[in-house]
Amino acid sequence: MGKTSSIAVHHVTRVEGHGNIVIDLQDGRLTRCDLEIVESPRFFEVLLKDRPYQEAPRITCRICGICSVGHATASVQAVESALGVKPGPRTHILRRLNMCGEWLQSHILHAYFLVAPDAFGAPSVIPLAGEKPEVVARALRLKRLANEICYTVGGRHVMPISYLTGGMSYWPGAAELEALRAALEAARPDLDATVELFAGLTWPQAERDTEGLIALDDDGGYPMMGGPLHSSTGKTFAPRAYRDALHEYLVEHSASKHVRGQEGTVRVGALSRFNLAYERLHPRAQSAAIRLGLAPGLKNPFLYTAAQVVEAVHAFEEAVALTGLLLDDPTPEGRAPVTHPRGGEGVGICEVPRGTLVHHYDIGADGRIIRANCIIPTGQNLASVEEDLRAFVPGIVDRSEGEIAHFAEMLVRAYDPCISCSVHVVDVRFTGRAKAGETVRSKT
Amino acid sequence: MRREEGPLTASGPRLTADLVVLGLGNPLAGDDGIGVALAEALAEAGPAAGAQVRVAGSDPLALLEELLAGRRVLLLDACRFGGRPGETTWLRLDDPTWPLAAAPLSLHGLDLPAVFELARALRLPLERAWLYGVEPAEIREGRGLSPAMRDAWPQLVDGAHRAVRRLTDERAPTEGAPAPTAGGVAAIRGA
Repeated sequence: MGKTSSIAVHHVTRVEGHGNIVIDLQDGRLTRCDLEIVESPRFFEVLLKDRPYQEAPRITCRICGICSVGHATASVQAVESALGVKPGPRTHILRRLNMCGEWLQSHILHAYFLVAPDAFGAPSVIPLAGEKPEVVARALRLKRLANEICYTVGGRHVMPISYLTGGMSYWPGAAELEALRAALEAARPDLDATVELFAGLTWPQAERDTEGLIALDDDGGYPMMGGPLHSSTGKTFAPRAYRDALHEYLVEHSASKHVRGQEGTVRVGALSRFNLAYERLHPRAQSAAIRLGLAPGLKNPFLYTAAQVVEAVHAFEEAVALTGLLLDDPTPEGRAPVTHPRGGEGVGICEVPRGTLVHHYDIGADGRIIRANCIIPTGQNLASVEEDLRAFVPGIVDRSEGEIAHFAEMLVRAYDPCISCSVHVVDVRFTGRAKAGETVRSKT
Repeated sequence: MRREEGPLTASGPRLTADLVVLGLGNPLAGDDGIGVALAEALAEAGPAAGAQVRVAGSDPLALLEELLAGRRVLLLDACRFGGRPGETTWLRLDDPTWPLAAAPLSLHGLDLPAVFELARALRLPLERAWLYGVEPAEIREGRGLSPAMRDAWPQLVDGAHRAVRRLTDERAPTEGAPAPTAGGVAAIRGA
């Protein structure tokens, strides 16, 4: 007889938000393996209804304190798409610099604060700080640097206030940019030490093939700002056709919708970007990948963290380069004009640290938002997380329940889920006695 | 070029200031936003020379980052210490009896005790950090300070200014610091 067991992890620790893992084993056979998303709905799409489009970036950046720059970016891109606004090239550079800051901050926090304790056998970063203070201090130095990037561009360390339709309300001066460049250059040894630290770790094996999806920039850079969507299946989807690439659906055990691609589960985020856009990585990031033992074609979700370390190097190097470009001409760039003042529909897509983020707005002739739809990367990954668990857990059923739970948590954590962002039920209707086929609960 | 939209949320010399004033809290949670409101008031008024004022919001790790960078830190925050709403307390943060973190670390739920514990583990110089704490009346969902905070607002802003001046002017912060209206570590622990 194999093992019969019911394992419940309430709540998964060291992730953003609240989720439970439920595993049932009958005679050594996995009969249930769910990632329950139990956060309350947050209604943020409804918050946008009837609001002037100018407010959208400042409202939506509050969705998440970790991905606030990404939400502001996708939001302003959606508005600009709807109104026919084309920001100038240096505005694009300034916004991209802010994205680099957010990637660096988020990846460093996840790798050092949430994942590293597992690698070093510590229950959390606090005891780890006691044993390896230099490791945690390095993480904090890098986080501060990332904060400085975001402050310089966005006026705040999180939740930027400088994003306007067609431009930016603040343009950093030469002195600010010089100070930032100096701070970046001084931090390079910390990046190198980060690569060395994670190169020395070993990761569990859990390979599973699935579709990868990224929003690939047209400018030839590493995917960060702007569509279209590219799939590992070879298909490409224009931003407005995002629903052809991302099919949302409801599952009973999750307050967040799941997403599937055209051929099953999808993965978004660092692992997919690394696989699909390796050639666009900065040479130093490619060197970091080699040092970490990574090459395109990664199928092991535990390697998300290693891919994030590579991307942290890329974001850092790109921030250095973009700061240099801005210093070449620090004159503020004017705002691009609105060419479709009667409103319309627009889609903004960008790559936030955890993956592909979609904002879709319908703006009325009065400048107010009629409808909004946001698809968050964590929701896109949830089905894949569950499939990974279902593939991984049967291979470790001989372990103790505590070890099974520990590895399952590690796998969920590897995706760097932001559960708080993923829950966004916007319309809950209780009809009393639902008739056949009637919707009693709907989500967008 | 000044920002055209949104509040000015920080001012003073960045990266080089000796003293960083961090406004902590969530303005969307009633009086929990008092630290942010005070930081914004200081920033608008123009901070004392040698000080940078920053809204850190719900990122108390900023305390550790600034201490690691060799700067002194003044935290402005709501703080339950057993006083009446609007009363203030003034503490240096190297008191070893501060409560420790009770829950595993979460980046969305990081609280000050967890940060203090992390600071101790990193052996950071907490004697270079102070708290100007305000007893809140209402921690609830929604923007806006309670009537008790609004009534005490002129005194609270004045106290915050005096705290900054004390730490920047004389570099002798334990002498003549703004007198707390109540509280202390023991009161916080008992609250």
